[in-house]
Amino acid sequence: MRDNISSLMDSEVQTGQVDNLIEQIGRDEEAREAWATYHLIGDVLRGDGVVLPSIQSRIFEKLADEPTVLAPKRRRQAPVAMIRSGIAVAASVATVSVVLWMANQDQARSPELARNTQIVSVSSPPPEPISAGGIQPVNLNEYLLAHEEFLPSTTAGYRRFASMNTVAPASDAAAQ
Amino acid sequence: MKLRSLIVIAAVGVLPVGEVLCAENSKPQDGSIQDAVNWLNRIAGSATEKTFSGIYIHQYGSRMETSRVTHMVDDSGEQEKLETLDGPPREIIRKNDEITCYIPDAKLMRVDRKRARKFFPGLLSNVPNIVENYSAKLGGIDRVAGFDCQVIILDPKDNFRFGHQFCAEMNTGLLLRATMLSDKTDVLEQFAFTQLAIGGPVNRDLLKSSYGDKKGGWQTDKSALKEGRQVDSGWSAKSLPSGFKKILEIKRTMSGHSEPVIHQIYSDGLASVSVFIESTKPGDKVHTGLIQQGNYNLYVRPLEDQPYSVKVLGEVPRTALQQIGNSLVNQRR
Repeated sequence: MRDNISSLMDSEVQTGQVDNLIEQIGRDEEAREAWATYHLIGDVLRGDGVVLPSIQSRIFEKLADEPTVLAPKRRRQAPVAMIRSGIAVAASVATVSVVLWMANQDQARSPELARNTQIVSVSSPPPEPISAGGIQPVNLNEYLLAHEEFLPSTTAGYRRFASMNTVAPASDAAAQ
Repeated sequence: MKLRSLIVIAAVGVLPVGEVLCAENSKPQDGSIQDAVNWLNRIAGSATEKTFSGIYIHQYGSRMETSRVTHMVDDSGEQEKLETLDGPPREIIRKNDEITCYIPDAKLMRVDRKRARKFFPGLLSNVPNIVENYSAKLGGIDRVAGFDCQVIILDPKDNFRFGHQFCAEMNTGLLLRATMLSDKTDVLEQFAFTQLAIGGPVNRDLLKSSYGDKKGGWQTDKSALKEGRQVDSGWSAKSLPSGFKKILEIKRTMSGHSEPVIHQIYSDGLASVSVFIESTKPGDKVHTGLIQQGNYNLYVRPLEDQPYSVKVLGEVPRTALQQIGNSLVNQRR
């Protein structure tokens, strides 16, 4: 079922089977949760400002048991939708969540996010950089933007300026 | 085929394996391969030699953006204007290698050099490097933006890169559509013209920025010229996936890092991989792991016994990232 959900999200399901599959997911509680989780993973990784309250508590339960964290830093602006929802702790997407799966040599190609991932940790923003726990903060977006400067997109490398008033340190490529 | 000939040779037990491989390599090249390579060369040439103007879409993961491009070639070389037609307005004016990007919502003019950047349809530059890593063959004839075009298929020769398909206009070789595929069917990224005029003359006003005269309150940012300077940190990947070469290395300022982060770019002619090497503070614990975001894979690992961690990121399969990340050494240590 999880593979089916993953395929559905990736638009890999044949048109005729979509209705049927959605119905199945609707009937099956576990499938509904998987659906929500997969979307959450995608949303958080893309930096979209959405956290589903229904799975939030379970995530925090899991968090308590998990030592491993790759924690992106707090975003400059908390998404409006999140503030409205009043989910105080999960308020900032940048608060992070990173899906991590351990290096798996034999699976060279796996475009689907959900199939091979598990949530290792979703953490709330620490008031101070965590040192005792030895956590390394990761702001993934910044690395993606830096990499994108070398991709053939019209806006790549300039997207970061959209909501900024000041000149950010940014460098495009160096000499070839 | 190779396997079969090996079995035959083994049965006869005469020729060593080396000679078998030589025999394989020296057989006359398939005509269609050479045709495909010729087409790739035409694609690479036409993007810099032809005058054209049109509108193209760029699909990338869940994103899509539409841009207008005006490209003119005269005695002074290439002049190009790129403007986004959706989302926040951006204009890029390029004169050969000089780039100015106009960002009206920030009232900012960023001046830079082209360097390793590519702009559609100028995606192909190093054809020999490409055909080293991808098997090229011709597909059928298709139609894009009203033009008939020749399909060229590039299949990766190993698991370190994704496949590509190009469609090139029949008469000029101009690239009309470029697709990156994770397998035979799964489109990861696509550029395609939706409207196009090939050939001149082009009204020169169309090559000027619409913001060019509005200097009031605009800032000029030249930091990219300085920060983009090539450096050599001594770090290098000892076992790069075949065909990948380091095309540049810079130091960049990143939030959360008091010291500049080393940023290296590796490319096989089509795919690119970024390597970030950054110092870690005592007590930081970096875990080895893979992260996927959209088309990207990102591989993180600490460098054993050294206060550095590595992030490897690119639109390539994970194995390529891991191989690069796991083989980084600093030759100066």
